[in-house]
Amino acid sequence: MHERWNHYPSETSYDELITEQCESRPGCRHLVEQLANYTEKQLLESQQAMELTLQLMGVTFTVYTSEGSGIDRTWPVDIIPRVIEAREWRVIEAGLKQRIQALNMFISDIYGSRNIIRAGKFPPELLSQSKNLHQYCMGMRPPLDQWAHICGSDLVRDRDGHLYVLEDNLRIPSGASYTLINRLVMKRVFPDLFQKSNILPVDDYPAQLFDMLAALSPRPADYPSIVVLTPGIYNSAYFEHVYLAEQMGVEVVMGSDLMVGDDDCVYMRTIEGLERIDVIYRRVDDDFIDPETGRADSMLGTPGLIRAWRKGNVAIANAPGCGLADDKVIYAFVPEFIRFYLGEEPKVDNVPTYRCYIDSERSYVLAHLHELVVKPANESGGYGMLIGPFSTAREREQFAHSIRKDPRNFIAQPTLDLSTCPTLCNNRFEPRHVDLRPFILSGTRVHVTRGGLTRVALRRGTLIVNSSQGGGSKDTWIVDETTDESEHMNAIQSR
Amino acid sequence: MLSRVAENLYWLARYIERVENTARLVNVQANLLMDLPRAHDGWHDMGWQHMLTIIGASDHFYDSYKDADERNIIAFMLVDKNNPGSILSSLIMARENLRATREALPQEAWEVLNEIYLFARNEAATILGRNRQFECLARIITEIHSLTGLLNSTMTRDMGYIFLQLGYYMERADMTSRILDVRSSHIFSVDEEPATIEDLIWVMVLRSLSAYQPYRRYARARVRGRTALAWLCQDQRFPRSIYYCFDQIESGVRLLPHHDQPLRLITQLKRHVQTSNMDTLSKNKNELRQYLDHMQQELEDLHQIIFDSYFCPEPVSPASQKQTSANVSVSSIHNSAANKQVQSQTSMPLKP
Repeated sequence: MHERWNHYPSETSYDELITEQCESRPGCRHLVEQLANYTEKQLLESQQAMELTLQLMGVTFTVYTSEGSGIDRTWPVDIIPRVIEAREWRVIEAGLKQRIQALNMFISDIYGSRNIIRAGKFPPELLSQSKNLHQYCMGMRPPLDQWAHICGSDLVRDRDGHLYVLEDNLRIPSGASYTLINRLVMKRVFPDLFQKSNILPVDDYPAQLFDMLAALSPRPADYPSIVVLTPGIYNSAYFEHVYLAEQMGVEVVMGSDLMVGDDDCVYMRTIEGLERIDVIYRRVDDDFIDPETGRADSMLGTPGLIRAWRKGNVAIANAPGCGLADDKVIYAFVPEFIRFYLGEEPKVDNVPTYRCYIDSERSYVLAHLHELVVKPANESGGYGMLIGPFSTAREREQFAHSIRKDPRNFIAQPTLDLSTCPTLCNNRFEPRHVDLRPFILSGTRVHVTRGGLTRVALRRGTLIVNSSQGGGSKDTWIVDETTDESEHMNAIQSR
Repeated sequence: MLSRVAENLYWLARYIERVENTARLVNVQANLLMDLPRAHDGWHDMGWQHMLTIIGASDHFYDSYKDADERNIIAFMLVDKNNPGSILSSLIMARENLRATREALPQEAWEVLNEIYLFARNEAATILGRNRQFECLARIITEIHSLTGLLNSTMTRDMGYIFLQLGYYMERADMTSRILDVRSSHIFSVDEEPATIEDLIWVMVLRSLSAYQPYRRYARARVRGRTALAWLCQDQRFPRSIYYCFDQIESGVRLLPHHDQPLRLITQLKRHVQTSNMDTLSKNKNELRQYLDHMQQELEDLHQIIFDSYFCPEPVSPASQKQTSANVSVSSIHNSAANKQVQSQTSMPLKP
């Protein structure tokens, strides 16, 4: 092993590329060797070349300060990819497919006959406080009976080397465009590595996304009229909205560009006149998407959109109301959903989760706050959490108070020792914690991205990886070490 | 093309053109007034006050300033953020409109415009000192040319390009007619004004439209007001003449969908300017004033028809009207306000 890796600290965390014995993991051999052969100068140049490419391409995300002003940051990518063996990935893929199928069936069930409640497998009280359950969805059968068409399930690996699903983001998961960008810039910086290793391609995502959206169209056509609905340029993920739309060849619109006619169909305002819309890939929240059903003061939506959706005149992905399952307490039930709806055992595990609304579990949580991570049921972006081992007594006290006041809205999980991945820090390779967000598309069939977005916590020791809080990202490689090229060729041909 | 995008591009072009025109207007005035004989110091200030009338901002000016002297007016026109028509305000609006439509334009366009904006913003203080003023404004003009040159040479001639052209030429026709309106009204009313002053004013008018050299080549004689006026209105080949602007607008409109109404109006405008007897008009101050006023009114109508045809395509019911006005983007709100300002100029009385 090259000298550079000899200095790589063997911490107690599981490292994605390097074993405790300081050897490369399966699938990483070429990468680790290559990285070892680069001089410091070459590494720095590669990192800079990547940053420059990202800047020139205008790949940004926006972080908002408390005063409301926004700073456009160039999307941060680290040159060292995260690698997962294809063999392992196939199991994960199967597990993710199970989850999304079960979740969609659950949502469908809750807005329909509620069999799972009748069967006593799900307490109806949990629904009464659900912010995202909408009455106007009751009895609705959206196209293909799918509600969560695009899901971003976050995966983490614990010290035992096991990959767990941390949460399922079902409302408006973002990051898919960055997986494409990360791959694009990595190919420019490390073309030789792509020749040596069998890295499964990822850039069929826009085509898969388009196909999935097209399948939802009320009017069958070769090219149904699809739009991406964005809140606008001041949204932190605006870059992604535009990028995905461009890659799919569809229009990006804001709520004000659309209108619902007297025929309850949705139209787009163009210079040619009004143009009918079939499918909306919406990146606007339920609360804002239609002032008739959500916030009346919303400037981001289109009045009558839900009316049009209920009539089946327009398809909306993800469907309004699917956020009912985007809830950390519901997450705890997913293994149950898999058993109930699919009659299968989960192939991928949840992180052990304590549900505070259950008396015994709540007592345990309150007694072990210093060891656990406590999360509110509905927050995202890593905000509003308590990380026990790093918390102060005062913080734990505040959380205990909140939990007692509103137990239904809190869960707790053991503090995981997230796996690390070598990251270029000050010209050295240092371990940083990572997680992974693959994307799952559900239309006529389910498609899981090969890999996904690896997010890395750039400050040493910290576990928060979200970009809004200063995290970075990496390209994710699913490496197929077998000599069988068929999966690889299948991937290319399915574009 | 989305109506909103078309509208943003149209306004982007209008603001860019406005910046260039304003910069040149101020520079020319500042330079030529230095040549005025001392006996005409009173004219000096009045010349600056005319500028306020040209852009129709007198009321607005007196909201913030007491004396309409050179220093205040220049500050107002160049860097005052409370003046929606100032160079700095126009750059801010142009930038916002470009930001919202970046995908429709070449990537470098944002960088170029952003740099112009940053330059103007950072130089705002020094721009007011006479020494640096000319240099700064000249630089802004050059940079604007580089932006329009970039757009011209790299943009596909698609719908977006057409709306940019519409914006440029609507703004240019508007600005030219205003300058002619204000200047010629003064010039032709004061018969006892010595010829030197009249000549000076006309040279100023021509220079402020980048028209001095072309005019000299055309007329081959010293500047005579009546000829210059006719040439600026009717010449078919000078790119800032009113006729030329109308001609370009007509070419653009012909390529747009369902263009019946706007096409009728622009061809009418062209006809009017082509067939008017500028010689007769220039002999009668009131008729000339009315003529130019009428032209500005027609330009306003044309702008409204373009808006109705392309930027808000639907029968307007009260409910949707509320919706539209509530959801209008930031730049459009300013545009409407600025639009109102631009339009209000035609009804402002001229200073005698």
